[in-house]
Amino acid sequence: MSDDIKLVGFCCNWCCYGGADTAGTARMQYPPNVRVIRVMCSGRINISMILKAYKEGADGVFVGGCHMGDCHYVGGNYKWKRRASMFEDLIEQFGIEKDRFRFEWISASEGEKFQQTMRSFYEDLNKLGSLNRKITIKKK
Amino acid sequence: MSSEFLLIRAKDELVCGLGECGGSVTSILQYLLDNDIVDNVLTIKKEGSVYDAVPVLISNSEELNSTAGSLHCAPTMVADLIPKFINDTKLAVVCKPCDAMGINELEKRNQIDKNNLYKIGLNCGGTLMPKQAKEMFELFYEVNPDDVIKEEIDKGQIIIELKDGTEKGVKIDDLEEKGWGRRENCQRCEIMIPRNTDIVCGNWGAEKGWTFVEMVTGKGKDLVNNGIKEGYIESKTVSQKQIEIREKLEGIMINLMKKFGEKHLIIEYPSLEKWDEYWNRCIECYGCRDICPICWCNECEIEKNYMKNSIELPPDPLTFQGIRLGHMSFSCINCGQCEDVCPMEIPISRIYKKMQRKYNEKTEYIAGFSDELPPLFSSTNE
Amino acid sequence: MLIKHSICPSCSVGCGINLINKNGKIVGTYPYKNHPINEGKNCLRGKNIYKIVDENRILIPLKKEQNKLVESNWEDVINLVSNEFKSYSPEEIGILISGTNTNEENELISKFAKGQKITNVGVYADNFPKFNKEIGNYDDLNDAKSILLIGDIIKENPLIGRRIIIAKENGAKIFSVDDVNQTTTSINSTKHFKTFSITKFLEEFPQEIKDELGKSSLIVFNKIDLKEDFDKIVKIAEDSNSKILPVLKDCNSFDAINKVPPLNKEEIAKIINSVKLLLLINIDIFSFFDESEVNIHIPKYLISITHSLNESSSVSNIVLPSYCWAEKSGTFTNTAGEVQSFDRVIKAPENALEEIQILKMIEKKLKA
Repeated sequence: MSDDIKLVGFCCNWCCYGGADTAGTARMQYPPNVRVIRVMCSGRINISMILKAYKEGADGVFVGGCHMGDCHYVGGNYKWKRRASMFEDLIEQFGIEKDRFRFEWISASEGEKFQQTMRSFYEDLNKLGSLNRKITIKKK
Repeated sequence: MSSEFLLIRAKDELVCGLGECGGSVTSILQYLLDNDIVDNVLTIKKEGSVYDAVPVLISNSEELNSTAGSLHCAPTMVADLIPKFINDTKLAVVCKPCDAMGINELEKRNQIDKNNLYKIGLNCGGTLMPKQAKEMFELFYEVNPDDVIKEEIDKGQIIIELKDGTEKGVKIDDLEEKGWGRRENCQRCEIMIPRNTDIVCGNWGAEKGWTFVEMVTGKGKDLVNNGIKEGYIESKTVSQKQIEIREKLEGIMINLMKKFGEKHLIIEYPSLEKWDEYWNRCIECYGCRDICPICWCNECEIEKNYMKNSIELPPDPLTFQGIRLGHMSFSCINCGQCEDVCPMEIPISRIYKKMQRKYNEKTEYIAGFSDELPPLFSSTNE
Repeated sequence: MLIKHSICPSCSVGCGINLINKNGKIVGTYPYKNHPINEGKNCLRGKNIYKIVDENRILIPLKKEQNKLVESNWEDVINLVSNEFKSYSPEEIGILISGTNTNEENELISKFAKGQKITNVGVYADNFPKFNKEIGNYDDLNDAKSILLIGDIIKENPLIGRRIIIAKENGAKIFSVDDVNQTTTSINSTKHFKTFSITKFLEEFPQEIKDELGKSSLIVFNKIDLKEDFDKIVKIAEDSNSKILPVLKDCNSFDAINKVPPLNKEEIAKIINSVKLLLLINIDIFSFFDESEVNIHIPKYLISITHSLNESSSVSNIVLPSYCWAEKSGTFTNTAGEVQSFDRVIKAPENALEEIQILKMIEKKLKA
């Protein structure tokens, strides 16, 4: 297992973040490469936030929200779902593989699902290797 | 509401002669202004030659005559002028399909008040860039471009009329095969008849000197009927055959455009390496964003400090075009203005149209037409 | 809302731009697609150029009283100005202008200076000298086989940059020279040369570039270190049979340097330090002086003709409000030597006067 894979996870406060918590309290092992950022709702995630994560060096971005119909704010995850399906196409235009982005519905009780998702996402990213974007040119 | 069809033309002989096919649009606008139904009319006006036009706001119906006639060599966009500069009056706007789609998207974003607006749509077969048009007229028509006093697109040809009254036409296909002809965006635009307006006017299916009008909304029907009642226009019924001709013409055009869409967005779509080269040219002028009729935010995220990095030379495309793509590409109406104004010749509208196409395949959302709101604005359910 | 054609005054390329006029104010710009130079494309500066009309606008003549600028009226200030002019000998008077005045104004300024026998006259033109050489035009750029760029042309003059990009797409070789490692120009060129001094680079001109320069080549430059560099570039161009295209600083520098002597920083400083009365026409002398670089002493009496309050006008004894480019009609000569006329788009503020009128008033008073 390599440690230099950086994984950013945006987790909904009401579901997925709880799920991560459940996984933690139950001492379920999952890769330590994930940096969890708590957001109040997956519908709150702006595409620019994920793009910034890639720009700053994330190799993969995970978004976790509530199951359909369970949104604390009624419809946030529906909004996110449409955005997400577009987002997959968007990153491809810039040479970032679709597999570097994943979203999943995880409820607060599904600690195991969180663990499994993180594990499989980490393995996929490991196969892809770290993200090398050649494009940015820095001025000295 | 189903559409109704009519053939109309201006009753006033002078107006009838000035306009493209019977001066119908001019006389409808005259009716609107004379009866104080609207305060202003937004349309475009020729400036000196057929290659130059600027949007103009008219409040006096006598000035309307100067705006009559078609202008294919002046690709303008008027949609974003409405929320920016003329949101305070009752307005009638003459719009080609991309203008109408831009207005529709802005209406969904609460930037334009539907109730204050009469939309007079025009059939459009495409526009040409002035410089290209001039060179083309010289090369393929063998005329002095300054002698051209009128141009139109009809029956698959670009037809020009010269000072001495002669007409010349060349098939669009022949021109476009050789890399000339209409703007790239117009080549792949699949909307020739803007049915998202109140009425649509055009010459397809009509006899010479008459305008085929499709009345889409109730507002549009009232408008035409009142125009007839008040004596501004005269009308004729449309035969079933004429409707069929129009539909057939539209079908042929759409099929042709679909081929171009395939060519521009899939077959000849720039590779990732080529895009890298394009992004390296970017000088961060924000021209594409500022001209975009969909982009209306007062504060733009791509200008935020946390998205910019002063030591970056060309802006990182991911947090420049990427963010814009994420925020509005689903609503891209393929007007091509971004590409027109890009000082660095980046074929920027291709990436936007491609994303819109993909989004359309997934959700069937047609930018500028669908009544539902785009995703960032849509309400609770799928 | 009214949209009218104009010429962009932000640099010397001379792009066309449409100005959106609403209720007598310019509120935005709109692409001018029929303009032969830029075809509706404008850079960031160009698109925002309308903002200079209202920025720090001076609405009424100002005069200095007890170290403070106070509002005055035209009769009063013109009297003051002419009295001051009369009290000094021509050698003690200087006139400095920028390249943003119209051709007609430059004509009048040079006539005015001659009439008053004032010899300390000049336009700030960076290091560019007056020249009388054949220069290339923009269309040459599109079909050039090789182009040498000195300075960050693509970023600073994007509408010339665009033609360079087109040439590159057509297979041209692009060489760039600058004193920094990376610029927008350098990353888009075939080969970049980093040099500490452009003078030195021209003296030791690389054979590699020499080999590529030929009949359909251009040397485009927007900065040089010394006035002598210009002749060196001309020499290189003549030897290789290629054309030059100097990109000057301001929208009408081309005409200004032909009518009044072009000056660089040191020469400007010399005039400022030697005269007692200095007339500034649309120029902010502090905009290009780095305080540590040259030691300048503000002359005893400073008169500014300008439309917006700047550092120079704020230390002036008299400030005369003039018209902004959008408020007058006239002609600009762009850096390729093309004369382009533009029309008035909006009305000027009530108490401002056109530069030509101001100078004529002063002239008349001096004769009386």
